[in-house]
Amino acid sequence: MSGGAEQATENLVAALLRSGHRAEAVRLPTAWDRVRIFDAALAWRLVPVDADLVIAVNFPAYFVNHPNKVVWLFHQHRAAYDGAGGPWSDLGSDPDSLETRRILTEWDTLALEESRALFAISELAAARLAGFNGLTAEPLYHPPPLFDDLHPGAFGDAVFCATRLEGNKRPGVMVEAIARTRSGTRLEIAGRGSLAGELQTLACDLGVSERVEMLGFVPDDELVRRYADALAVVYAPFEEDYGYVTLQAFRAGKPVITAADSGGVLEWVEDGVNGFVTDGSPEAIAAAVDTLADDRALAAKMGAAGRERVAHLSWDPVIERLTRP
Amino acid sequence: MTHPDLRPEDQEWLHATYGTEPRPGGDAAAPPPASVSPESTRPSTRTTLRARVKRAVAPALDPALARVAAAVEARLHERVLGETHALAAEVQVLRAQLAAVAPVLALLEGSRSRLADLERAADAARSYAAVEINLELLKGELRSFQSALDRLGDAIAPGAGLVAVPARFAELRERVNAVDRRVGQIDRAAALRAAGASPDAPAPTPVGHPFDYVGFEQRFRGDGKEVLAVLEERYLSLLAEHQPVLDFGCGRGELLAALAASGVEAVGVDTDAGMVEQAQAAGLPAQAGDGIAWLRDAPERSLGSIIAIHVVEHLPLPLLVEFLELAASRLRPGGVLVAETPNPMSLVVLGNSYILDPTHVWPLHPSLLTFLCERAGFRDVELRFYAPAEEYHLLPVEEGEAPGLAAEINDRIRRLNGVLFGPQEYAALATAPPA
Amino acid sequence: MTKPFVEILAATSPVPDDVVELVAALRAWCRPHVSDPGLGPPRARLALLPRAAGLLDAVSDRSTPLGLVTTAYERVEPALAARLDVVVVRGRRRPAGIDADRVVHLATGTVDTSRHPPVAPALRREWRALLGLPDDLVVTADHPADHRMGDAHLPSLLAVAAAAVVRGPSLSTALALGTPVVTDPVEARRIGAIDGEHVVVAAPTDAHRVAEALGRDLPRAAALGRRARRLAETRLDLRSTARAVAQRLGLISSNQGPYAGFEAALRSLHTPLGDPVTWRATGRLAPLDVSALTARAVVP
Repeated sequence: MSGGAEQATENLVAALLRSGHRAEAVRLPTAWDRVRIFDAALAWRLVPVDADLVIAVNFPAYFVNHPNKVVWLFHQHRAAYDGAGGPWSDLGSDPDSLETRRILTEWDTLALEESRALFAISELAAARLAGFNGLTAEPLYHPPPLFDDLHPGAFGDAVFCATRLEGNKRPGVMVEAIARTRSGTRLEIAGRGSLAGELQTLACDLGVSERVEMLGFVPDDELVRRYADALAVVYAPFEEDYGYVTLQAFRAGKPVITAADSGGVLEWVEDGVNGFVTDGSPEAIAAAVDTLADDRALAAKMGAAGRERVAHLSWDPVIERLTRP
Repeated sequence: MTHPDLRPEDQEWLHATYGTEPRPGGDAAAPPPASVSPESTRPSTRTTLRARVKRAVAPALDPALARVAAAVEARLHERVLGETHALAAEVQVLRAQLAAVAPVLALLEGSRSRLADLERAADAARSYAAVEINLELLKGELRSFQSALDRLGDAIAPGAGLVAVPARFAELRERVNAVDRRVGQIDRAAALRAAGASPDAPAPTPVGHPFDYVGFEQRFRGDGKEVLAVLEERYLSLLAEHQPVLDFGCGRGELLAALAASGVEAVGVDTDAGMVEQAQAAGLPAQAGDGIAWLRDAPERSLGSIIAIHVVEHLPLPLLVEFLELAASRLRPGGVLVAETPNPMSLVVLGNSYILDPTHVWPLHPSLLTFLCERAGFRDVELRFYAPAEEYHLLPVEEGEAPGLAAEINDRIRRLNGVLFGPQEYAALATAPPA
Repeated sequence: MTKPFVEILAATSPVPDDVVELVAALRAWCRPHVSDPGLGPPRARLALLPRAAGLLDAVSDRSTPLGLVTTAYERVEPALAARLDVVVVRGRRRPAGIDADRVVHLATGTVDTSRHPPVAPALRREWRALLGLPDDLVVTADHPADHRMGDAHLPSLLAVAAAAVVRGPSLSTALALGTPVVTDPVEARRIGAIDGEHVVVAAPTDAHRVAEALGRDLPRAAALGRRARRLAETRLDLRSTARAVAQRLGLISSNQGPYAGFEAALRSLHTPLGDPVTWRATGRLAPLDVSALTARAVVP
């Protein structure tokens, strides 16, 4: 859960430094199991921060107590909210879990209420905050990593995806989709995670192991190249808050194939304009891949629309908004 | 731990009272979706092999089997017995373990009820704290109140304090009234002299009126015998102690008769000649004429008591004042004037029985009559109230009719009854001052 | 360490119940007593009525903090008002001529918010599923009979309801629980709740329909419930009112040792003592200094 926020923190600090502020990132280790979940929050509460402005981006950092606290919310502890009862949460619907979730909800609400200004990374994150905590946050969009380096290129014979290989990103669906295409399009997956082995096995079982390339960790310049050469980008996670992959794909002028329950991704992808919003089934994704494989002009048109969609993203307005008194 | 308002007993109650079937999802963590193992789909090869062998071997096997069967049976029996023993031993062990756990469970139960007790104790402690505070505040109020009373006592009766205040106050009152009376007499004499009349001439007697009072009384006053019985109950013993008695406005002489029957010396006077004739015919000491003139002619300090039942409300104010002054002077020291009159504080009287009689001059508020008696020279005036209009009283509500509000409503009803339907008549018992 | 003695100045008229409760709540920080020479000079004084005996003498004693309990309708002379360190006003209106920052309001209908922690609408939905209650449960508690129904159970109902129509004594409890509440204009004014901010105000005939709609609108219900809880914590909680009074009378000492920050952190997250989080955290600190910690654990 911390991959995106990690990068964003670094980029935020870099952007602040570029704007002439003195900035420093502060991190504390966190335990996510339900027994120790409040410890880190309480620890943050006692951390004495001497700064003119404190920007907190996720749980439990926003518990820090500071008179000039601005929260730009990337992540709450979703295992206690919409993730409860799911496969990656240790909290369910039994009375003990409900009480833990209740206390966490109240703590979050109090800590976030204290902030001088409250922002979220997307409409979806803001809507979740309103529904669970009754708080209003302003969506504040920021550019993904490598935004200045990504560039359009030719439309090759592979669809690309760069994502962590965990359950909520649903990488298995992509492999199954590739197995169902008739155009023979390849799939390149960059990224590491606990499902790496399973995906390899799945590709073998489906008989598409030559068409599926598991790249593992990919350095930045190769990432930029892969994006530039891709036919399209497939990205269909479950209820993603923001989705850097979407924005990176659009910056590289590539259409995005996604699913209707991918959450924040849908704030950017418009079906038929700059990509495809499918029902998430391997068949539908395969059909979209085939459509683009058969019609590269369409891919180019959609890609261009996507690039225009993200042209306005920049760190300057973000810094200005966060530091505005 | 659970939310304090959603403890297990609360959850049970909610579910029992409002719930339907609980929907699934009560486990702590949903297990991850299980993956399908390829092995379970392959058919077992061992059953097919065994079947084939059995079919081939069957015919030769049966007699052999019969021989073997017996031996096998015996061995099986042994084995089963052995296993049963082992199981029995295990059950013993488990039972012992359970027995060991039971006291721990009991302890936990005890702790739970102790926690409930602690909660209750905390509640009790809280209310006790509030009660303590209330006590402190009441003490403070009491102290303030006491000091205020002390100051009041000192102001009125310096040196003697609160206990001496009533006597002191009565003294002062009498002195002031005496001065007032003298001033009044001087004023009257001066006025008469100015009008040219002799200061000793008697005041003109009131003109007799043509109103059929006898008939009116018969209709509205009530049954004569009942009225007499009430008067006897109220005043007979008092009058017997203060003889001789003057019945001022004696009418047909019912009270005179009762007094005579009790051996009390009495005389009565009334302006209605007809009624007086009736009384005289019955041998009673009644006299016709103006009662005030009679009093003027009587020697000072000659009477034991004067009783005037429903008379004073018929006298215009100057006459009333004169009557009271004369009464005060004509009574012996310690003599008693009993003036009974309708009580206008009871509004049902004022709006109903009082205005019924057109010869009533003015409703005499008890405080007014008291004041006039004191001004006239009486030392003590005691008021006695009689005959609350109980048949009119609003009834109190039951607790069940107005739960929680009954006490307050009944308090208000009591107050209302007091104002509207209070005692219908009262008597002023004025004592003449000592010599 | 004994608590400081605070002198209570009363008068001959009876002291109202809510003032008695406030003084009782102050016992957490002091010993309130009427004047008693055996107790020595008081740390502070609190007059319960503007015409309390001894008030004028107290005014001239400038070294001792002085507080006054009054209503919005009593006139307080400017000379007296300038001398007061805190004015406790019963009811919501502020009396004329007194600075707002000197005033602490004592609400009608107080509730102990630590006994009824808030439950957000999303979690209420989970509770209803767990207990087999209908998902669109609207609780109506607007009749005097409802409040006698069993004090133990009405809070439970209010804690899981999707929305509630409430009038009367349970309104404060409902707000403390963060319930999305529909009530009538008179009740809203009594409690100081604003339509659209803490509650939804509707006429009794519309109330149920409005409550159903509110229960279905999760973001609106969540925002309303959150602000309702804040209202209860800041204005309807007797202990926090008492704490504010105690603070201004100088009864809460600022120097409380190394655990002050820790307690302040827990208090800022509105975590009552009985919470599992508190036990866990104090357990972590216990090896450092057991005696000091347990002594302080009593202070709310």
